[in-house]
Amino acid sequence: MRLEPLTEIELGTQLAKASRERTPVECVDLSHFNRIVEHCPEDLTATVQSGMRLDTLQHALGERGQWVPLDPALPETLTVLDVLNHDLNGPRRFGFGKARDYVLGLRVALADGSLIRTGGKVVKNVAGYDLGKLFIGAGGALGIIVEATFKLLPRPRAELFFGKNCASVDELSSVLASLRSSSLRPSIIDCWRGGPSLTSGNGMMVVLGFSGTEAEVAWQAHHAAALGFSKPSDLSYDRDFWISRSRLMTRRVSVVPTGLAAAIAGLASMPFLARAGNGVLYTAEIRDPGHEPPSTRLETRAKMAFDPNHILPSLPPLL
Amino acid sequence: MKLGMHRATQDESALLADLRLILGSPQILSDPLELLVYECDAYTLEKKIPSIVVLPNSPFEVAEIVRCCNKHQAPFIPRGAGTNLSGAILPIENAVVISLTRMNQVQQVDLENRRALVEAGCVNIWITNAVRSAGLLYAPDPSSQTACTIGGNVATNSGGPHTLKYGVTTNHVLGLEMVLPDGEIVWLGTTLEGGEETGGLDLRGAVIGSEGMFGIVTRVVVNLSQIPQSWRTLLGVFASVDDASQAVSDIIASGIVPAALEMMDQLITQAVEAAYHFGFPLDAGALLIVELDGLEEGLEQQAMEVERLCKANRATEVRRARTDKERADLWKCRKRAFGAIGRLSPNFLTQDGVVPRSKLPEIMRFIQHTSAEFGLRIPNVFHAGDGNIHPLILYDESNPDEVKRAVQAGNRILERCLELGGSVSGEHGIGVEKADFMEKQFSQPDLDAMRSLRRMFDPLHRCNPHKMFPNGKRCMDFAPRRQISV
Repeated sequence: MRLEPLTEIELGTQLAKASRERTPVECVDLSHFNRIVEHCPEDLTATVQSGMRLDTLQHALGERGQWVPLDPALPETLTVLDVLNHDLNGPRRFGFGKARDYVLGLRVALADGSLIRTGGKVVKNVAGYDLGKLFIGAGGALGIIVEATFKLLPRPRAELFFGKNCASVDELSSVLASLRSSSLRPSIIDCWRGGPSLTSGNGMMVVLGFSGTEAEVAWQAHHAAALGFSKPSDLSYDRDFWISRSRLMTRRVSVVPTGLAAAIAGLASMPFLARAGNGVLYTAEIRDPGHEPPSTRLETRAKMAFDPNHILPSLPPLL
Repeated sequence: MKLGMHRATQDESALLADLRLILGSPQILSDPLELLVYECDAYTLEKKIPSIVVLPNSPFEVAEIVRCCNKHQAPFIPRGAGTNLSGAILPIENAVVISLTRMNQVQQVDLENRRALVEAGCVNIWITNAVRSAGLLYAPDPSSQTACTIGGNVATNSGGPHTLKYGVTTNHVLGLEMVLPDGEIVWLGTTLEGGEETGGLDLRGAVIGSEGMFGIVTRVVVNLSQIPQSWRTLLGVFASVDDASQAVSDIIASGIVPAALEMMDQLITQAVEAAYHFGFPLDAGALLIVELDGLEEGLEQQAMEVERLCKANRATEVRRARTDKERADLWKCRKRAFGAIGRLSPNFLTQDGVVPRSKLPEIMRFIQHTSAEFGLRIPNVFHAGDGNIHPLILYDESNPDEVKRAVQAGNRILERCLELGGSVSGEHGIGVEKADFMEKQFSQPDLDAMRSLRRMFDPLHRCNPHKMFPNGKRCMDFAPRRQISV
């Protein structure tokens, strides 16, 4: 069943019907839910409907010098719902964090058609359970997010990116160690191999990014050069990696940051993209659901509690 | 001695006998005098002496205790240092209190990956003490951080002055071990050796802030942050709370993200000065502590901008902490402000409402108005940058009318926070204190969804019952009691 509601109420009615009839919901088109409900620049908060495109949202917030600090590649192809359902983020994740760090509140349509709010629109709030955390990254398995309130940040006044080639995993390992022990505060520590701009089979590129005031960024750029990061870079590698890939089907590996080089060594010469500072690695392989562990007992109980008739998508895979 | 003490019933005797099979006798408290300590937390309006307190040494003992409680159908309550301010650990229904204070070690530190594995009873500041020499710290810094435990921080998703820039507990806890209410031990989220992404549902995130109602958290993996390279700590002196509030709004609007932005009004400043002798100006209507941190480079320009914005809002003076000691002393005064209240009043009730930052001047005026209307003094010391207020309503518990007025004034302030688009709690939690407010802040479907989540973890409602949700039963059975003095 495909849902294309015009309003929240309509979505609720359609879901309630699907639940009663136990009809799986294959697709929900929220393209009518595409506006900013409220942007309070002085409070650094914004409430937006989840069908809004991420680039449109960022552009609107940018007019007041603010943004939601989430930067997945190809934002013109993503809605706020995509970002929240699949907990998407980009290179700046090392410095700025993830969706769960910026969502203050959600409005969610549950499988039985009821509409709930979690959290609120203030930056600090512990009233009630933090249900929002469960819906973010759940792939829509527990409910359909229709609106989100974000904590915003001022856009960094300056940003600079630098690259450094690494010929071997050993070199990569020592470069990453030198970054960890440095006094730099990068917003990006990425690493990648393959794509149009690198030709050698085993060569890798480490990308370092700084975000902040002009003075902070300039000081860090100066010190990064001493660590071999002097070649100006951009973030096109991230876009290049994702442009031909399904985010949901790409194999993802997560290790402690110090274990990243070893994980990369295991890939032989396969292309990859890594959020090296976070120890997260996306490979050129397709995910193999057969090798993923089954959902835990608690997760299954959560699914039963929120979607007993299984009309919404399955639980997101465990790594 | 008339203490309204509880005499062990037959059921409790059987439970005690079974607990003695699991724990050594120093680990079980059942003597009424020993139990008195556990009758409340830092919310003292309601008290109840528990029937039994147990002090486990390991997650396995916690699991055994929970299974034993289940066998006897006894409710149980996890407890850390008891610094909670909302009665979240009030031992209603003769619950067994499971005190985690003996499980208090920083078990392992991974400096390279900036993580630590700590036991739930570990005191917040001990983590930073253990890693400071490596240039790291644990960021959330509740004012009670020298006493409160990580387990308690997880239960209430604690904040603190520096959460304006660094976030609250949930932003710094990677994973946790929990004994479910049926006795199973589970790990939720990242382990010490594991990657930060685990896939699946974020059950870790759901447990943080659940006020100990989903199970007993026994161990936690926390994220460690780098100690900032440099600081600028400024003290803005203002003639009025209004001017200081406007300065807060202007600083936020300027694009600067301070590490902390704290306000103290005149009444609290006078009490703090009398107690700690920092040298605060006693005639100031409001003081604003603004801390900027990060790389040294560029920090001074930001400090000068903050100074300019304070002066633009009629600050009569902007002082700077010139040494690390001055900075430490200033923060000590701020964090121990509640402790100075004893000079003003025998009792106080603190509220923890939140408003959108731009509504700060409005809520502060409302508090002044409420103070006059109810004839109660209400000093304020709070996280201005977050819009998180802490009006301290002063009362004397020996005056029943004053107690009543204090509660009413508190409720009035919280209702106003909701009207302004805020929340009834920014960091203290709901507990028993604000349970009746949940229906004002949330709709029935919202509360039903929360109840579903609770049932998923604790179908029998054994773990920390009668908290968070409005419960008519509480009003009849658990009326406020006067403090017992021994």
